[in-house]
Amino acid sequence: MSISLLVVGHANTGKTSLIRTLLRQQNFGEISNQAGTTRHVESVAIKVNNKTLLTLIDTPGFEDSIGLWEARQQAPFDQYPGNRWIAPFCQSHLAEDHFEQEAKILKQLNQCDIILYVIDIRQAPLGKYLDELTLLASASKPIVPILNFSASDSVHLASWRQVLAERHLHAVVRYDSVAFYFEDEKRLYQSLQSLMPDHYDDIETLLISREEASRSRKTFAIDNLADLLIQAASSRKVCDRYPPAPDDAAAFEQQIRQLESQFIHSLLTLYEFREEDVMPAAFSVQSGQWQQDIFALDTLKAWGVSTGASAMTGAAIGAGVDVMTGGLSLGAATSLGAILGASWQTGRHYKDTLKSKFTKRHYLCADSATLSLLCLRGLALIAHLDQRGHASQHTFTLNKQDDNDTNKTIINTIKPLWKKARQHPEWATQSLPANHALKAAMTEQLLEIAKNH
Amino acid sequence: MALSTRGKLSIAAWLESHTDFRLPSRAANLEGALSKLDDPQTKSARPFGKNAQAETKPTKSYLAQCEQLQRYFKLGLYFLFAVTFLLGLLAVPPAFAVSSSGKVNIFWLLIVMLGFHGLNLIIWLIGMLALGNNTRQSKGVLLTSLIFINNKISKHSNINTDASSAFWHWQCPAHSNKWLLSAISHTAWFSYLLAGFLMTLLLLLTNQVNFVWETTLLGDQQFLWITQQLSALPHWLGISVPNQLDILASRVDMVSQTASTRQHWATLLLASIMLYGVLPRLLLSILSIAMYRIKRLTLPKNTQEQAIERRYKEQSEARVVDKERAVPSHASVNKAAHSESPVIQPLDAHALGQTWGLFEWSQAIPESLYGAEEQMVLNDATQQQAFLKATYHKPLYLLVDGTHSPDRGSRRFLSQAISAHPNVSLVIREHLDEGDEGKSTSLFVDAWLRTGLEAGIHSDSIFRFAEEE
Repeated sequence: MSISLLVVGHANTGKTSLIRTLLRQQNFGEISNQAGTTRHVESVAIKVNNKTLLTLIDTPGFEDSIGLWEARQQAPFDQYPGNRWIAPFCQSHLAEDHFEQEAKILKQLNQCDIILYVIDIRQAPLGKYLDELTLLASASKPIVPILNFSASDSVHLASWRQVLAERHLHAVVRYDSVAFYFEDEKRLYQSLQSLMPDHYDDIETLLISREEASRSRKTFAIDNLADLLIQAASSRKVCDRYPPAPDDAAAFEQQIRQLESQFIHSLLTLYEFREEDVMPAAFSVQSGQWQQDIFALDTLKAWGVSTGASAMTGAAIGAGVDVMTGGLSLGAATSLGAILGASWQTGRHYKDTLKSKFTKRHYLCADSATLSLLCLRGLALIAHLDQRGHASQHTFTLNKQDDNDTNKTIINTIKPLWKKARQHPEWATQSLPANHALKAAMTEQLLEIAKNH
Repeated sequence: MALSTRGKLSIAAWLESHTDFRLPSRAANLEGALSKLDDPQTKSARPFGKNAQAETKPTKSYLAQCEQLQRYFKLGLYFLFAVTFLLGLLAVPPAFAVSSSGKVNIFWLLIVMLGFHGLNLIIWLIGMLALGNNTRQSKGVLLTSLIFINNKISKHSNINTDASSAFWHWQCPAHSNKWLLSAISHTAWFSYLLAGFLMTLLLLLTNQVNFVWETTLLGDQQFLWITQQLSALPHWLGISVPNQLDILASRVDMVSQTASTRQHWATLLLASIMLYGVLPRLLLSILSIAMYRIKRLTLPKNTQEQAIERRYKEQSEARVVDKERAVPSHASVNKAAHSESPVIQPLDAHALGQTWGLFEWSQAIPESLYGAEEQMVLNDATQQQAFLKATYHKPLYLLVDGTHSPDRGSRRFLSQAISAHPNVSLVIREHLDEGDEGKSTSLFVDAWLRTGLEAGIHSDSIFRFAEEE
């Protein structure tokens, strides 16, 4: 049997949100700012490799715990010690009427292993919350208090800790339904491990699976960002004049925006969020004039390798001809083949530069400011999605990034890499493999930045 | 033949990253999720940045389209091999028909069969060495051509361009493209050479010919040397090959040949085609196919494929344990009440000096209430009971916080309060954000108004108390 966690708390404290965050699912239950949104009990089993490791039970919130505690202290329920009052109470008319929601929670108390009590720390430990804790304590089950909305400071945190400590609830877990930190979730699982040592391995499996997922998500996100930057840097558009005509500039702008949209889309898929969760603010794409860096080491090296191969192929074909003529051609075909092969490859390599010289055409490319913006926006989006809870309802606006010192340092680290990418227009439409030297270097740099971002 | 799970995963990953196609967010396992590709109702997903109207809307599933493409691909290959086989059959007879006097030009036949094959083999070898472990991973000629052709004929076929691109990226991945091309090339040459061998065998079986060598450029010694080199391997395998006399007897001007000379030449010819042509191509073809399959099997999963796999590693299964009773939903009741909500009046300044009860109050007591006759915090049952039992001679105000939602307990208390103190007024504190043009940050002002009205407090006795943060 898996561990069964009963998620309880006062109405509107974020119980369903907690479950959504733990499940990484946006479609579990219903959430709103109204109290009493959840009006049924729903259980959800978390399985890893088809084995159920954990069962979370979502409940309606307590709405009148002061009234419920008063009812528990009155006849006939006052004569029952411990948790024995629950069964007769759930069969009474009160459970059918005024305390229908509370009765649904009470019915689950005996079935669960651990109670997760969700607290909205923006409110003081009011009497109704203390009554809830007293009612829950009567079930004689371990209680783990979850301090929701912990991302921002609360003046009530200390008083809540005090109140909980007085009730011997020292192992509290901080959490926020909007800003999610994996470390908080880890602490929750570690608390469960200490409370349920028999299920230690199951929780460890889940914890490892979550850690792996979190790590790989980040790696993949960075990989996507590296692809975006390489493709944007190597994207070009032919135009008749420079500065470009408005139509050409707009078309190129659209091309770059399209790349970013694709990046956002794949990130949202990766993190399992909806398209409406992120709104990219419009940004202006500055286009520069593309020029081949003929003497760049990278360009020369690529030219050398490809030209050598083509010369060899040409020479082989020529050699065939030489053989067929029985050596009468005196090896001329071999030499000619090699020359033709090398010339063809050289022409191919520098064709754009030559073409633009002869035809007076220009190539537009994304300038450094645009690439810097794409890089910073990408990093900001990854950082946001990495810590966005699946219960978060607000739309994240991906806007212009500040030109501060940290961002300048980031750009200075990445800039040399996209300068290299700019020399390879053929990369604009493909995703380079992870072991590609430039991509590997860019991914490494971006990962390092994301770690410290 | 049905596509493998790996193939389906690759196609789904391509579609997910290039179109708005999505596998279900939850499924029992990866296979279950990938079955969406087989959904006949699946419409063509819209590619990024493309007009939805411009896209065709086939009713065939993606999987069916891909399997159709796979069949076409195989048929295309079979057709290519059939054509090369036919070419092989056609290439031999002209060598036998060079002379009407029943002479076969050995040199010409060897060039037709083995010369071009050898040249192609050298180019292939150089190409493979030049490519080496090239990590450019460009699409390559094959993939680019296949996608191009597909896009051109997609208007006339019922195969969607997205489905075909996804399929070709799986069928011809850059990782194993060179082996696929090698396999096609070697098999085509194998088929050509095999046909040439069979045709030569057939013609030699049905005709008695004299073997001659006609060349202007090569001298006797050179031809002798070439023939001896060719004979080395067959001779080593025990096949009888022409000796020096046989070769000299095959000069074009020598009229008659002995039966043994003819047989030696025939066996050399057949052995050369088999040993230098058919067998190497067969072995290279098998090697290339094996390499292509191994490379495909060990194809590293891309980001999207790994993300999809991970998505279905962890599953969740939800079920309702205790369902809601069939009553009008809370939201709809609230909405109905909301539409009838009266306007809340602002609080009069003189009220600040009266008796105040701060109900479930988490904040500091507002400074404006410091001059009140009396302020009581009503945060627990004891304080609330004391408030209900006490008698107040001055007008009584209950202050609630509009930033927190009222609940059933709040309504019960307000009902008890109006019964105990009929002159009680409900004051809803509203926080205004200084930095946001005085916009209210209190989401529950209307909810408190409704709760107050439901508890029996008259709308004239409900006030708004706005304070800037």
